[in-house]
Amino acid sequence: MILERRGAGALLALIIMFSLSASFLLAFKNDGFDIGMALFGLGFAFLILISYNLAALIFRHIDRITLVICYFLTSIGLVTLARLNIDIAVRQLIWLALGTVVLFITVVVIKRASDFGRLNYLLMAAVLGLLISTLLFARTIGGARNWVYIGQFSFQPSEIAKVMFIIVSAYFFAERRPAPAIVCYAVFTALCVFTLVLSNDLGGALLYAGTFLVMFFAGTGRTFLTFAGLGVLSAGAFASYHLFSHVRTRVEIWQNPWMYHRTQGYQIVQGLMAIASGGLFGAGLGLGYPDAIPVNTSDFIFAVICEEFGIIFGIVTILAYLVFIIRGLIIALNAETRFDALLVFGATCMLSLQSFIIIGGVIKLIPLTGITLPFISAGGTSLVASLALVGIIEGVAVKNGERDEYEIVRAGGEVV
Amino acid sequence: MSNVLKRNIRALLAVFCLMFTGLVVYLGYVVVMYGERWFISPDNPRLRNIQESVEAGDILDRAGIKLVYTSKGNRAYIKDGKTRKAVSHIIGDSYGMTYGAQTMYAKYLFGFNKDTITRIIELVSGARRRGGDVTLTIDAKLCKSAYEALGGNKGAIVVMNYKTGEILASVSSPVFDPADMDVFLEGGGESELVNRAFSGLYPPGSVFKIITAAALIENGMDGFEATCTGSVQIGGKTIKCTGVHGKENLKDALRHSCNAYFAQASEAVGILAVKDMADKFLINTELLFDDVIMGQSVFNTSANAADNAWAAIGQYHDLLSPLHACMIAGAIANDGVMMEPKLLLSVSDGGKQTVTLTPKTAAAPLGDTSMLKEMMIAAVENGTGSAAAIKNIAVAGKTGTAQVEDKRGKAEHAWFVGFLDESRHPLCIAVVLERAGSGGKNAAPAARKVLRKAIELGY
Repeated sequence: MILERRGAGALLALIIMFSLSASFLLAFKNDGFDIGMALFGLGFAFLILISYNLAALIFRHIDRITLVICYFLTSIGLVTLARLNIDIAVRQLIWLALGTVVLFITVVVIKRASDFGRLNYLLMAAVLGLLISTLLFARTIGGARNWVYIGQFSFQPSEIAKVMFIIVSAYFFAERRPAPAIVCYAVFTALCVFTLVLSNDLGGALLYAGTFLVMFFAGTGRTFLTFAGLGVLSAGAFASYHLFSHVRTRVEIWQNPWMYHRTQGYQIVQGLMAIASGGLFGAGLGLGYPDAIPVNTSDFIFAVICEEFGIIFGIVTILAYLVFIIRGLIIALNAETRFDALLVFGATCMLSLQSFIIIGGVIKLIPLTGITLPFISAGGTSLVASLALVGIIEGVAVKNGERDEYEIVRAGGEVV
Repeated sequence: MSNVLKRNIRALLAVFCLMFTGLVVYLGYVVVMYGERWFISPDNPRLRNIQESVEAGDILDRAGIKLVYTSKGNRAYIKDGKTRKAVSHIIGDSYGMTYGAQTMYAKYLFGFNKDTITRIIELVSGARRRGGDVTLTIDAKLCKSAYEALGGNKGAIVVMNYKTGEILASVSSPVFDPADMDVFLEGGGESELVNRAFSGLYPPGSVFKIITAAALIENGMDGFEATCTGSVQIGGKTIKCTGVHGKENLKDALRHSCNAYFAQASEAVGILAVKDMADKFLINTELLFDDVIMGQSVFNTSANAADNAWAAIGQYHDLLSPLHACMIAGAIANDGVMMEPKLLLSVSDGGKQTVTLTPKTAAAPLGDTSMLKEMMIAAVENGTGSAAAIKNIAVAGKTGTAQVEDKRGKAEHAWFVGFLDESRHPLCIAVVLERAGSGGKNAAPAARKVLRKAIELGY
């Protein structure tokens, strides 16, 4: 028996071509040739090429498709950001390099760990600490709701907390834990969600609650309780609709943004116009009018992509996320232990829920809650956290591969 | 690893597949259904932005009169001030503040409709781009005459060809001057910019009796008779009539526009039958037409019998736009076939016609309308609509005097809705004069003036 690890070279080549042609197009956009833009394109094509090959070299069993999709989405983000604001794009590129290192480290850590045992309680404390610090410090600073500033350096603690939340949740659902531990975990989750709601980070709250629920369902298999949880979630949503005026406003805007097109509905209306203006094939990179779209580098970046690259490309982007999910869940199904399976499952669900929440919000399928689009939106912490989640997925993939290799070699086969 | 966990992961995989397929399907659906509408929104900065790089095409009326054109890089309008104001809501402004032709048809005027290859060639060749010329279905002369017929009242008049759906005239008052938008650009005005003919929603009053009558006929109750004693008690409330009409049948009741008869008849046939008929006439329906953006007309029923009786005679929550009223009259005239209102006659790009009008039906056929036609002819020959009569022409119609009460106090909107039962002049019309009193006394003569002008112009 021979196990062959297929590369995703063709796909990678396509991404490199996309990145290079897009950045050279942008370099030629204004009179003369923007050498900085061209260098940026070369830089990130080089980074992606190196990272991919290095990853495949170090970790023979890394899942190539997942990695390539992740870089595909990142390159869409980098190109779009370069078009909007080259400074933000350069910063994002640096974060990508850093994030790739984090990804590699996460793979190594996950590969070695069985579960994190008592360390999980420390992680729980860290998660709560991070979220509560957001609540306390972000409020005093005002402005953006989930950013904490330390000197020049700004970061989103809730993004870092996401990764730890997945590990903690996988630990608690992996096997039957004693009752006090369960209670402790339940209180922890509720506190997370509550803190996020208080910081007015509704997207984050929805993400944590949603991820908890799907992991609960997968881990316990209790359909009834899951639906009960869904019921509690809906009741909570319903209660906050009646309690908080800002939640009510969001829903009203969602129902008819055009009624508030110059006030609270401005963002979504401008986003919808941008999407409609692109048509099937888009206005062309650099030929749209994304300056009209608020928060175009982060929450509304999907509208920019649709305007300049077209609806078809927007659909391709959505499908790329779907392929990413399918690969992730296949890795979860192949995992040896329950902990590993839940780890990958949780990481995949978190990324997919996050992309669903924000894309759905921008295209008005669901009420808009501000959250970044994984891999694409500007934001260092968000990108690093997303890459760390990919690291979790890849770590288990490598573990699975090594197990398969061991079994095959023992049976007299060979791994190419 | 346990099988339960595997099964659950697979189940959630299916859920995620569904969710993301949902995103794709929804994105495709909304863009196809609403994309164009979103794009032409007055708030879209792209429309203003494009004017710097592309010379917009001309807008002409159906007779070829230039209403809007580009002169030395600026938008210029027809010189005659009265005509310019009469067509103001139809041509719109060049700042994207109204849903006029300049916004609605921006994609033709600025050449957005050209295919990708043509656009690339134009871009590379570096020639200053010019958009297409748009010819509208309206006749500017008829619009001017309709504007005069409004006689200084606020309100709207719409004239359509009921066989093709072409809008021949549409005016809304108060008007604005597209050549002088300073007041609006500074944030003043507002109500002038509303196209009352398409977006204005008015209580229809007795005009709605056409639909109640259609419901009676549809349910085989055209022989229904009732007695009018000047008022009638329904659900413990009194519904007053304009006179004491005695015992009457449907035809006479429509002729007299008798409230007492229709209140009783709606009870007999059932309010749901009336609602059913209203739905067939596309009331309560979101109408997404290619050429015009219309307000959504409303008909609500209630648990209270008195409310329902009021609803059946066009009060309670009933709302109707003048264009929709005109389409309803047209459907009756056109043997039950309601046509979609059309405003875009053709687009030509460099002398080549790229878009031409194709008539479309708006609703499923209503069935035989000959009885309604006959009754509406009688209402003009010898009824409340007699002021609309034209010599040697078969005019059909229904008047309405809709009661309104708002912060300015109680008043009555004057309505006239009708058509010509002449195959050579397939015209239907709706007239609303705000707070102008009786429909028969005020709206019907205005309709007559406009219809006569239309016949004179050869429509």
